[in-house]
Amino acid sequence: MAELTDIQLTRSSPPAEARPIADEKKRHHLVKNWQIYSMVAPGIVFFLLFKVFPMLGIVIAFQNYNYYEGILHSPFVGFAHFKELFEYPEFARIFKNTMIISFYQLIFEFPTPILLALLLNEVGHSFLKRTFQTLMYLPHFLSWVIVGGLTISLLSPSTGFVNEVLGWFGREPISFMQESSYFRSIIITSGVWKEVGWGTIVFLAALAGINPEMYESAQVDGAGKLRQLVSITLPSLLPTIMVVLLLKIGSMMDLGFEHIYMLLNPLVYDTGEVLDTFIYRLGLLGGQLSYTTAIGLFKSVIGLVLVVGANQLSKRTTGNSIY
Amino acid sequence: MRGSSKWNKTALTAASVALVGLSLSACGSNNGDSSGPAASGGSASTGSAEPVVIKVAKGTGGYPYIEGLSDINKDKYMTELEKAAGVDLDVELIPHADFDQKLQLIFAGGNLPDLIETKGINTSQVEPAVAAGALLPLNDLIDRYAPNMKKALTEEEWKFGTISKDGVIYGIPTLEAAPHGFVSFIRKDWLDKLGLPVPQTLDEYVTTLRAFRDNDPNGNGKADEIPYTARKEFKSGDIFFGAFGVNPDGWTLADGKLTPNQILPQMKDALAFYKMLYDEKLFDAEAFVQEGKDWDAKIRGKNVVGFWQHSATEAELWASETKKNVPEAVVVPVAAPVGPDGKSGGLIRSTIADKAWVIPKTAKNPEAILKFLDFFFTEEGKKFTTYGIEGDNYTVSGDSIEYKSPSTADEIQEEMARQEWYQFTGQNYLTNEEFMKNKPNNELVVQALEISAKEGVVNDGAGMPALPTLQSRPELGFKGLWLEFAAKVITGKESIDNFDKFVADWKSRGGEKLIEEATAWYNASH
Repeated sequence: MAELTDIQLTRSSPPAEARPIADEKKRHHLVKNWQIYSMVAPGIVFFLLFKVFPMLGIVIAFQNYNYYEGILHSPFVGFAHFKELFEYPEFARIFKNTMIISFYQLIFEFPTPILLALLLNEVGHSFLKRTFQTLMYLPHFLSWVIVGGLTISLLSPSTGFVNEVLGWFGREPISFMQESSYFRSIIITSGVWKEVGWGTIVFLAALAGINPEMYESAQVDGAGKLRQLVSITLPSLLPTIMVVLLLKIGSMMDLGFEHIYMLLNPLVYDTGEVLDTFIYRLGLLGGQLSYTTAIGLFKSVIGLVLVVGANQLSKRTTGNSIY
Repeated sequence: MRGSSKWNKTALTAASVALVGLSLSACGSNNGDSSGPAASGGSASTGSAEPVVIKVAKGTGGYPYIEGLSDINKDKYMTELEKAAGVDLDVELIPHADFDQKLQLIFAGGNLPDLIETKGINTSQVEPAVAAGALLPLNDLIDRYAPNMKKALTEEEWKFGTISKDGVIYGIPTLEAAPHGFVSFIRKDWLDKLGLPVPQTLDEYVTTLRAFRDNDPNGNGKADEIPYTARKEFKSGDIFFGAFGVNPDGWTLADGKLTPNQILPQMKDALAFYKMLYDEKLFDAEAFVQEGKDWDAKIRGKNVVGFWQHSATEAELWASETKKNVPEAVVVPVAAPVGPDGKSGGLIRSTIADKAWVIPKTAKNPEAILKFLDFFFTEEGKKFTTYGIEGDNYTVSGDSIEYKSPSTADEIQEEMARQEWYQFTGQNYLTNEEFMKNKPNNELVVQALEISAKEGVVNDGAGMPALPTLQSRPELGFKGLWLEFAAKVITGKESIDNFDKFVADWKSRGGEKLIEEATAWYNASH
């Protein structure tokens, strides 16, 4: 989320500097609209206090931090921790896993809520529609510990339902959790199952905002359901889709630590270990706070590059952007 | 609950205790004074003064009784302990499962409690605090306020790496009453049903496990038996490594070098053996992902496991809990499988357990804390943890104690929590011969302890400090590269022939340096 904060802040500050207005006039403007500005103030204070100020903490990525000497007195080591990270023999593997799983999440977990929202939108019966919706939201409120436990027991070779079904077809049980080739699919599937319902909310809201008269006139012109979808619904949804996509790209490197950690075991490290779980093992369990902050910073920089790049691309191609 | 009036009282208490302390030390030279409390009494205050408040951070140890309490500070045993020791404990529980992580956060967060449970001052969580001088050196305090504790350990033991560094004691030790604490359990009723003797050698064990797999000993008509099971990271599952003398978390002095067992040549044979067990479906296919609760459920609830390991002191509990779900189950402790060189068993633990208490420099009443912990080394303290509350757990008639032994599984859990969790330190009930003799249904525990005392693999790395290379390259520990390699070999994803390559890789990634550091430590301390 740190990357996002940057963007929001740059959005609010540059215009003020960009336009060299006379001080008097500016003060006048501020004074005149003090009620409005006072309403913004809590938000600005919040971001300064909880988002910008804590960012000073990244300085420990360049130190050998220990909490007894604190930020001010811990020895400064420059880029040593970054060097250590890039020289770590498993770094390539961990980085590759992070990128591949993020990419899969983007292409599978992003479009499914749109698809589901479109389907739900076509359910005419409002009671049915609401029931479906509520049921699909439910998994979002379960913690990953529970969903992880469910996944493991569903896929268990001895008692799991999936292997039971395979057994009906005379297949040998598969130890899904111990096969590195299944790991990413399991992560993506469980992720989609948990979050797809929740993800539909914003799209359903956007769908509700489309002017029904457009559909009526399309019907009069003889357009079928599919034609309406392609020519009315999707274009109307596009701005929402683009904003959600850009936000998603911004947090792409945050894979959801709990989710992966719950399902990870030594047999699937080669496809499943990602930067987040690596940070946990080293930082929280091993106490290497500076090293892991450096990894976190590295991750954030990639996130920032991705979101700025995607935003520029989107601005040029579709005209939609988040800033 | 703890309102400001309470805090005022606390401050008053602190002040009054400080005064008492001053007057005591003033009396120190004046031996004629008869009113001074004897050091062995252990209580910080007698008479009308409010007891000293000690803030304690303590792990739950996974004890179901402790984890099931709604408020640990209101438990009857806590109240009794506070009364007996003359202190007011304010305990904050650390969940057993995330102990390391939570402990790290406690140290990082500042505002430390007065007394903190750790896994030794040489662990990566505590080591920085020692280096930064945030912990109280205890040598003098122990001499002055904890005479019973002082006596309980030998000079050699006081120098142990988990409690002291360069001659300065930072940790208050806990004692391991059963260094050979791990024992193997087998379903005797399964053996009897199949007409098999108790196995001893590796070959006999394999034959027995195969029979468990093939002959449906649980009699449900399904081939659902899991002959041998373990938890992830080979927790409670290293007994066959023990047969080769290479329990993965141990160290062995080989050719003058202190070497981790994970890279010893015997490890190759041990891994090949585990692979065979796995391939033949004698070893639980879920062992690499399995948490304690699933492991437990398979043994006690589902009635599908024939052979496993756990604490010898819990022998009775295993027998009774398994019986609760499976009335015909007979669980007995047996000798661990003996390997080609005659080795067997779990890693022998050192007499100083890897649980140590530390007191931060910010603690207000270190002398009261020391006295409180010394209480557990007094007769009174031992009586409390062993027998519990008078009138509740035992009655006194004349000279002898009538102990009400627990009968249900819940009562056994409660007794275990009192005798082990409430025993902050000191000699525990296992060393109390009279108690052990008189305890009903205790034959299994005594038997298990006798069996395990005869076996076990020596760990030459016991008490080793946190080595720098292991801290910067945690993957060199057995839960890192080795565990990944072992899991792959056992499940057939990598050939055992790559073992030499694994060792070479391990060494080149800092392992060579780690062995050097370990050897230097060993030579300096032995």
